[in-house]
Amino acid sequence: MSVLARDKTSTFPPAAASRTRPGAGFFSMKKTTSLTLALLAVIAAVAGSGILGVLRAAPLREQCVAWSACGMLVILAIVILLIGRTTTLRSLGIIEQQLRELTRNDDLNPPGAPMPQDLRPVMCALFEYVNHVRASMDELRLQKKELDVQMRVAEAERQNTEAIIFSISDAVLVLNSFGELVLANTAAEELFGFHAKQWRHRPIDRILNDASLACLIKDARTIGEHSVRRHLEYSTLRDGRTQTFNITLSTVVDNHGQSRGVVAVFHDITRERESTQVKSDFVSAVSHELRTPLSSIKAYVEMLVDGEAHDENTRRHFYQIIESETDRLQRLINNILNISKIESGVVEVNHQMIHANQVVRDVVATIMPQASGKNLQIESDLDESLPTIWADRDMLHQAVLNVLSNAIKYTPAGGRIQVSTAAAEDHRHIVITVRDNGMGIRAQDLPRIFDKFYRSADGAAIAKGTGLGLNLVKHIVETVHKGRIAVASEPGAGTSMVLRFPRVAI
Amino acid sequence: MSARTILIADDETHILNVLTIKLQNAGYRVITAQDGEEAHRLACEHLPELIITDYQMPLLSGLELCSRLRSSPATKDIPAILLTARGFSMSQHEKTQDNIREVVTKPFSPREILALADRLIAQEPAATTIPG
Repeated sequence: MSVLARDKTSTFPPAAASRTRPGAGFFSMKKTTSLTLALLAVIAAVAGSGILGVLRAAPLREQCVAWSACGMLVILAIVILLIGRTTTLRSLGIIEQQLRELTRNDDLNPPGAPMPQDLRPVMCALFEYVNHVRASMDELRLQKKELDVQMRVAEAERQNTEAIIFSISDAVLVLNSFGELVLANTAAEELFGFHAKQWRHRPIDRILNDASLACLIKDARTIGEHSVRRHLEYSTLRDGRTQTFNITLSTVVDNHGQSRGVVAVFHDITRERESTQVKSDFVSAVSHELRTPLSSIKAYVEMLVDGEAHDENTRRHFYQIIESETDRLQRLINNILNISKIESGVVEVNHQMIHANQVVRDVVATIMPQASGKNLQIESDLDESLPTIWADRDMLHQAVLNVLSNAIKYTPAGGRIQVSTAAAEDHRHIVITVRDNGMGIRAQDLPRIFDKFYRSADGAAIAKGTGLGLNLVKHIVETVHKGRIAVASEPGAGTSMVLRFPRVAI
Repeated sequence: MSARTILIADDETHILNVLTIKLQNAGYRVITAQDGEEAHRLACEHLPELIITDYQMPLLSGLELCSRLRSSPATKDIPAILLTARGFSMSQHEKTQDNIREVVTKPFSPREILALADRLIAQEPAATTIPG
């Protein structure tokens, strides 16, 4: 606009034309009229003076001649005036016609076209002006096209950027320099529970429930004159679960060092943290389980070496403890190795057609002394028509042994344990069920009883264990044999453990 | 405080027995507990000169036991030896609670425990090194 205004004022063609040709165009007509009027005034003055002079001394005949001459001059002036007016009107008509032509066709006749001589300068100036305006308009049109293209490119880039931001699984918030929300992707909407469209251009501290977090993000706008990136950790409680985020706050700064806003990216590291915690807990649990029996062995050996056992009975007692703790350590190591082998897929599985009833009978016979010692009754209800299954005998034995061993551990003296086998209704599986009327398992412990090293507080208070037995059972049933294990329990009433094996390999 | 009385708390019977025999043979009077609550009750009742406690116990952990003892004027000055089979899961802060004078990682030596007990009861300055 400023360019246009400057052009209008500095190169206004009619003014330029008038300066270069002062006697041309309208000015020539105006001059003609002025000259005519001057001529009339001279004539009138001459005539007046002449009349007065003549009237004083001239005879009547000369006076008549003088009056006639004056009359002729007046008539001549009137004729000149009429001719000048006609010429002016015709010129104006031509100009009007040209302007209408310009309006209709956006074009003028070129200066060389047939035209009255005295109009040529005017039309030249007008032509130059129109050409100038046309050139300016062409330039503006070009600039507009370029701006349109730039705008479309910018819009496409903006849409691309938004699409990228929306495709990010991390939550992203973009704030302007006033701390107002400019953009929030879907992950951010889900994380903070708001609709970005409704909250656009609202202060961030009114959107986020956590005032300290809103403050942190807002403060990031004024960190400095250069783009700054900060990382910090943020934890929040959602649905009773702690979620941890790694937040990256990036200050957006323009070319003049002014803060234009901030971009906050929330990367969820909850799983990594939980995974790290699980690994740490696992290492800690393995350490505890290995060190405890080792501690007994080392201590009792040292006592024997130091002669702290004063009689044969004490020494024998110490030897027995060392032996039992060594067995405990061996069992633990075997369990850990078996689980690790199954988990890593390097376990050797010896599949064969076997009778599950026979395996169950063997296990019951093995464990019966332990049950009898605790005054527990074991009842077997085995389906004699049970089909054979394609399974690893030793692993099946281990799984049933672990489940029965747990039933004995957590059933008070005088209790009852039932072991049953049956063909599943789908005729493709067999089911081994171990049911006891023991202490049961609390609902909150049920989802975790198959976790490595997990022991419920109730269970740990009643009996010793490593927390590996049921994990191994689950691996044997589900990982090795592609079966299913299920548990149902009621605290104080007992537990039912169901092992479901496929008849043939899956 | 009861003269030369040591309270041992551990849910592992074998550990409890071996330490009892070792310390009794050295002339100490030993009282034992198999969970944290029982240990706290016995400590308040007998005011032993030293407490040897396992880190992981039912009802009340060794750390919680020491913390609870610190909060009572009668028991806050009883020194404690903490036994742990999870040495590296304890924070430095946990290891430096003022009534926990030593942290011993399992497997331990009964000789080492006896030497520590003798030193702490004789009110020798506690060593700054942490075994294990």
